[in-house]
Amino acid sequence: MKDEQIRAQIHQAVDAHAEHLRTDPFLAQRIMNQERTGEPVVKKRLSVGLVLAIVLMLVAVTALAAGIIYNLGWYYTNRDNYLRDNNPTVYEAIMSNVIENPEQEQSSNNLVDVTIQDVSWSPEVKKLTISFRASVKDPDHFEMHGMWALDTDGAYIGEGGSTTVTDDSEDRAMHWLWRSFETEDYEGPCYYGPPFEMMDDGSKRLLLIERNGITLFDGTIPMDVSGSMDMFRTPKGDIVFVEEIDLEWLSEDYDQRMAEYANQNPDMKEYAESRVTNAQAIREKLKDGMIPVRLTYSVVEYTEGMDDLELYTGGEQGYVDFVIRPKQTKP
Amino acid sequence: MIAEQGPSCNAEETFSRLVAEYQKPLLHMCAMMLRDDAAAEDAVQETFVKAWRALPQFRGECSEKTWLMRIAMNTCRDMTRTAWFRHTDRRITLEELPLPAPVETSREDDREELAQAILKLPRKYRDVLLLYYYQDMNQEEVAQALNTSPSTVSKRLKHARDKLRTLLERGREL
Repeated sequence: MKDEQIRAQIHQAVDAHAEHLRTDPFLAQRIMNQERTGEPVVKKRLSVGLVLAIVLMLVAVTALAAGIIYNLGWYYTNRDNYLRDNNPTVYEAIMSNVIENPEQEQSSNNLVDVTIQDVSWSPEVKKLTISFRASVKDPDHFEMHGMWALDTDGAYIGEGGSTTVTDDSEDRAMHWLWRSFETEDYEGPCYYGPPFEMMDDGSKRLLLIERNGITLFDGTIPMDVSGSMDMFRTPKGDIVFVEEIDLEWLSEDYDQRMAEYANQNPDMKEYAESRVTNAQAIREKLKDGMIPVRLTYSVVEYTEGMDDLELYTGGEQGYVDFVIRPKQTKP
Repeated sequence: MIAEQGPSCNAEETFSRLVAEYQKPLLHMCAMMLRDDAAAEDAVQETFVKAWRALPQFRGECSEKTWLMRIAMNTCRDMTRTAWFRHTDRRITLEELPLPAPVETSREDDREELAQAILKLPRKYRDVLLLYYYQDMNQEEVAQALNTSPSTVSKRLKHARDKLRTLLERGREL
């Protein structure tokens, strides 16, 4: 088939696939207005980089002086202020339900200390939000990064993979570590490269932490716990995870929607019904006024040339058990 | 070309024209690249914010379209590299599961099948395919937008077409 025919097919396919998207007729005007009312981008002949460096340094110094805690309150006003600016109902519900230092217990671990910093159970907006911090026990000898910071551009192929490294510049057979998932006061490099070259101190041993999963009620009621996550590294080298879990099954509307879905899709009826049964069981359990939660994680030491299976499945497995008491979250 | 009109004399008019001309194709392309409608809208807005800021420095070393696409590609790439984007759950929900497919396929089905096949392509192939075929750019322009060589673009295009053919069901011709 000729290029022109392929082009026509792809045009039609992409346009049809995205036709529901709406353009903003005022976009140009809005951007120009915002840029005018905001800080001028290049007002003086000072180096923008220098100005940025000064600002970042001031922020870092202020952060250190203030002993900033990178918890939910910090997160939603600094790192991700989308909810605050665009969905204040959800933002305010999360903030008003925050419980700091919930009662918790962690498994023994030789490498890291982990803490559930704060948690917000917000049934009115169907959200559970958790911030979790991990610190190395021996910072003189270890430096920790998130497992998510390893090979984020997807170009890692690895040894013995299903495909081989080609002459394409994006292919590579070695792991790379990213240094961009930091707080905004991070002053180091924001790019990627061989892990030990990207560390603050490459002479230390490198630990990678992965947050594995969350279960409610000791896993006795199988229910999807899904949502969105973020991870960043603080200036002190702690790793913080913030997790937003959707609790759509909290309301009885969910049962109705599942029932409708089952009616339209008879072959999915059994599955839909089991979801409703589980949702109802969880709602019943909530009446006890206590939600036990377990968060699991793993920490692995990265070494040059280590086996990928060991990297992704090995290391120390750990967990934190904590309790949310929703009744206490209500004023 | 923007340079011919002179960004300093009528930047607002030029910018408004760019937005009017490219907003929709950019939105569609970003949706395919990011596989997320909301992220695509953010990417388009971010692209135009960057374009507005960079407009005074644009000297016409490449076409305005290539320039804009390069900004868009970098913006999308940056977005996919954020932890939040990568770990946002994009699993399809039960309610979104497609209904059983009808026995007879329509032209709309073929289009969606092709769109889904494009979405499944590895990013580097998807990028060149969308720029070359959807944005109607030539290989030289695609190379400029992706900051790579025309020969790499040519190789990736070939691989992209091959992979698409493999992905398309029923062996229909592409």
